[in-house]
Amino acid sequence: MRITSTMMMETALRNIESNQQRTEDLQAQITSGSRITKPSDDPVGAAQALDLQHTLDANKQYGTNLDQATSWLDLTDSSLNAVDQALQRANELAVQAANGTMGPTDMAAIQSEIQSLQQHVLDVSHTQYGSYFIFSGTKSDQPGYVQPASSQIVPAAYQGNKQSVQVAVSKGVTMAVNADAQATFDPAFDALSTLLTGLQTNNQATIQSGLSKIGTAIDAVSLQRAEVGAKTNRVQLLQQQQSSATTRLSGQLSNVKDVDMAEAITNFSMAQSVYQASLKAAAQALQPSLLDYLH
Amino acid sequence: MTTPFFGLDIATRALQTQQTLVDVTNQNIANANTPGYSRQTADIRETAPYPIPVFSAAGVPGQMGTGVQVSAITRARDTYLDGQVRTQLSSQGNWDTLKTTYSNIESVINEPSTSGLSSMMSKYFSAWQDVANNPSDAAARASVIEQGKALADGFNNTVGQLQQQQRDLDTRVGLTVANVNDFATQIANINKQIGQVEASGMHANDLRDQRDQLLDKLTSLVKVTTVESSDGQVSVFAGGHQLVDRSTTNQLYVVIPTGQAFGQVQWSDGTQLDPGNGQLQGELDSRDNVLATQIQGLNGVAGRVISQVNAIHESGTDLNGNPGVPFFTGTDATSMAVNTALTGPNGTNAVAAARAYQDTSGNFTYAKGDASNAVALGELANSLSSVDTTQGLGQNGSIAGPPAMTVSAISTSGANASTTYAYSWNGSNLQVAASPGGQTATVSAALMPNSNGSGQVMTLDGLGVRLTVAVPNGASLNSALSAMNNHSVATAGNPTTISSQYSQFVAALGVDSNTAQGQSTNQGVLVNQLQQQRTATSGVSIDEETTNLIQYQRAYQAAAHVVSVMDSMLDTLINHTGAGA
Repeated sequence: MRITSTMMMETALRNIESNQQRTEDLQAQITSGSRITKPSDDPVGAAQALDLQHTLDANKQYGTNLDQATSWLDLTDSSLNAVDQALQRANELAVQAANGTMGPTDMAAIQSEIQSLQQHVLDVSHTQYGSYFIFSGTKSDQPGYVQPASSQIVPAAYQGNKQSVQVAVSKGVTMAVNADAQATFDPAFDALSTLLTGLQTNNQATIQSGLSKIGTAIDAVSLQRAEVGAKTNRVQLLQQQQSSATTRLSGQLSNVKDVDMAEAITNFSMAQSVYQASLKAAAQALQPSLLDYLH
Repeated sequence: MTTPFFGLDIATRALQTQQTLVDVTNQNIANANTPGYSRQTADIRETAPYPIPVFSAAGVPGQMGTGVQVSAITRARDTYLDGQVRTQLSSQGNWDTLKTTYSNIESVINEPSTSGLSSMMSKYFSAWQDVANNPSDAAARASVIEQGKALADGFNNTVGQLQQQQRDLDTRVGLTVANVNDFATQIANINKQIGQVEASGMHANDLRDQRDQLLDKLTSLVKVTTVESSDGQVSVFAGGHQLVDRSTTNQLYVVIPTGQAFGQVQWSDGTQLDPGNGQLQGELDSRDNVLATQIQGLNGVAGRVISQVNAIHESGTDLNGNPGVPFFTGTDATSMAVNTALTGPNGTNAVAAARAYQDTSGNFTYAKGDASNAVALGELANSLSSVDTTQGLGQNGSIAGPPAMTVSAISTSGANASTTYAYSWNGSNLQVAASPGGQTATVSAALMPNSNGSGQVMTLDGLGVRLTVAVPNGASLNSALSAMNNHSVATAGNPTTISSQYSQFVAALGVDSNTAQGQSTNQGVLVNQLQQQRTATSGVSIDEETTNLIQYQRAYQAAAHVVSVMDSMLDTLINHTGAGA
C-alpha cells in the first residue's frame, strides 16, 4: 500500500484525538465522582440509579414520618401518664373520703384538690403537638374537651371525632398514631365529676360510686398506654428497618453510580501515558521527508 | 538513412517530454494538500519508429526509434472505492445526526441528577407526606403547591426544549435541502464542462476531482447513486428520482402540508423524497420519530401524574369542607399546570388533604386535622395501580337512570392488580364486590356540595376504591346510591410505579443514544479506512514526487547533453571538414 504523508498525518491526528477523548472521559468521571453522567453512559445503570434514588428519597421521607410518629406517641404517653397520676391521686383522696372519718375541713380540702385534679386532666386533654390538639381525633383545630363555664361538676363533653390520625410508615403501610381520646378521658371525667358531686353533697354512696369509677378510669388509661407502648415498639422496629434500608440503598446506589476511584485513576494514568506516547511518536514520524536528505 | 538533424529532433522531444513530466510533478506537489485532489501522471510512450517497413529500403539496418512523447495526463483514481466510500458516508451522515440529536436530548433530560424530573417528582410526593404530617399547616400546604408548580414547570420546560429541537431540525431540513439543490446544480455545471473537455479526447482530471468531491458531499446529505455516460457526464439518482440529468437538475422543495407542523421534502411533481440515508434522513428521523417518541414518553408520565393525582385530590376535601378541585390542569407535559384555584388567593385552603367521613350521628362531615387524602397522595408515588379509563364506567363515565350522574374521579389504594368493582343496591345500602378477589363490602358514602356550586358530589368508599360521582342538585343520597345499582368500575394494575415508568423512559433513551453513538463511531472508522485506501491510490506522496523529480531532472540533463553532443558533431562536420576548413 502506498503511504502518503497526508495519510500518516490523518492517522496520527485521529489516534491522538481518540486518546485525548479517552483521557477526557476518565478525567470527567474522576472529577465528577460519577460513573454515569448521562443515560447513554450506562442505560441500565441510569435506570437503576433513578429507581434506587427514588426508593431512597421515599425511605428518607418514611424516616421523617417515623420521627413524627415517635414524637406524637411519646407526647401521648407522657400525657396519659399525667392522667394516670392524677387518677391515682384522686383514688387516694377518694379512699380517704370514703372511710367516713374525715372532718368537714379535710373534706373541703379533698374537694378542692379533686377540683384541681379535674382541671389538670382537662388541661392534659388540651395537649398540643405543634398546633395540633392530639386528643380531638382529626378535629385538631380545637381541644377535645371543654368544661361548661357554668359548672365544675358536669363532665366535659367530647367535641372531637373518632377518626384516626394516619401516618405513612413504610411502603403502602399507614398507622394510626392518636390514642382514643374518648376511651381515655370520658371515664376519667365521669369518675372525677361523680366523686366531686358525692363530696359536695356529702353522699357516701356517690363517693363509693366515684371511687369504683376511678378504678375503671385507671384501667382505661392503662389500656391506652399499653396500646401506645405497643405502637412505640412497632415504630422503633420500623425505624431500625428504615435506617438499615437507607444504608443498604445508599450502598447499592453508590455501587451503580459512583466511580471506582482506584480503577479510574489507574485507567487515567494509562490513558495519559498512551496519549503522551502517541504525541511523541507523531512528532517524530511526521517531520522527515526525502527533502531533508537532499542537497 | 537518417540525417544528422534526426538526433536533434529526438533530443527536442525528450526535452519537451521531461519538461512536461516535471510540470505534472510540480502540479502534484502544489496540490499535495488539496482536498479531493487525485495524483496525476503523464503517460509517456515512444513516438512512431522510422521508417515504415517497405520492400527494398536499402541502406536501412532496421526501424529506428524516433524519441518520446506524452500521450495523456491521467489521474490515479479507484472508482470502485468511491462507490464504497459514498455508501458509508451516507450512513455516517445519518448516524452522526442521530447521535447529535440524542446527545441534545440527553442534556435536556439531564438524568441522573439531583435537579431532573425524577427528583422533582420525589420532592412533590414528599411534600404530600409533609402535608400528611401537618395537615393544617399553611406552610406545608404552600410547599406542596410550590413543588407541584416546580414539577409542572419541569415538564413544560423539558418538553418545550424538545419541541424547540424539533423546530430547529425543521429549519435544518430546509438548509440541507438547499445544500442538496446547490450541490446538484454545481454537479450539473461541471458535467457540462467535463462533456466539453472530454469530447476533444482529453481527460478532465481536475474537473472530475471537483465533481467527485461534490458527490462525496452530496451523498453524506442524501443517499445517491450515479451512472456515468460515455461522454463523462454523470446522472445522479436519489430515492428513485433523477436529481441530476447531465447538465440539468430536478430540484427538491420543502412543503408544509396543510394541518401539519413541519415541512416535507418533495420533488417538483409533488412526490415525497425518500432520502434513504444521509444527514437529511437523520434530520427527518430525529424530528419525526426520535424527538416525537421522547415527547410522547414525557407526555405519558405527565399525563399519568395529572390523572392519578387529580383522581385522588378530587375525592378529598379541602380546608373549607369543599370537594377537592383537580390539582393539575392540562393533559400532557406541555399543558400541565397547577390549578389556579390553588395558586390564587387562599389557595392553600384548596389543598384537599382530608376526606369526608360519617360522624356518629350519621352525618357527613370533615375535619381540618384529617390527612388521609394527603397520605394517599404521598403514597401514590409508590403505587402500582391506576384508573383504567377503557373499562367499565371509567373516568367521566355516565350512570344512566334518574338522577343522571357522572363519575368524575376514581382513586385506589393498595390495589396492584386490575380489579372490577361491581355495585349493587339492596334497597337500604350499597354493596360493592371486587373481581377478581371476591371480597364484598358495604360502601360508605357522603354527599357534599360541589366546589363550583353546581349540584353535589357523592363520594363512595369501599374495598380500597374511592369513587367520586357528580350528582344533580336536589337529589338525595339514597336516590344517588340506588342509581349506582348494577354499575361497575374498573381499575387497572400498572406494571410500574410512576417513578419507574420514568426511569424506564430514561433507560430507553440511554440505549438508543448509546446505539447512535456506537454506530456513529463505527461509521467513522469505516469511512476512515476506506478513505485511507482511496488516499493510498490517489494521494500525493512527497517522497515519491521528489524521487520522480530527480529522475526527470536527470533525464532532462541527459537530453540536453545529447543536444550539445550533436552540436559538437555538426560543428566538426561543418567547420572542420573539407576545403573551407
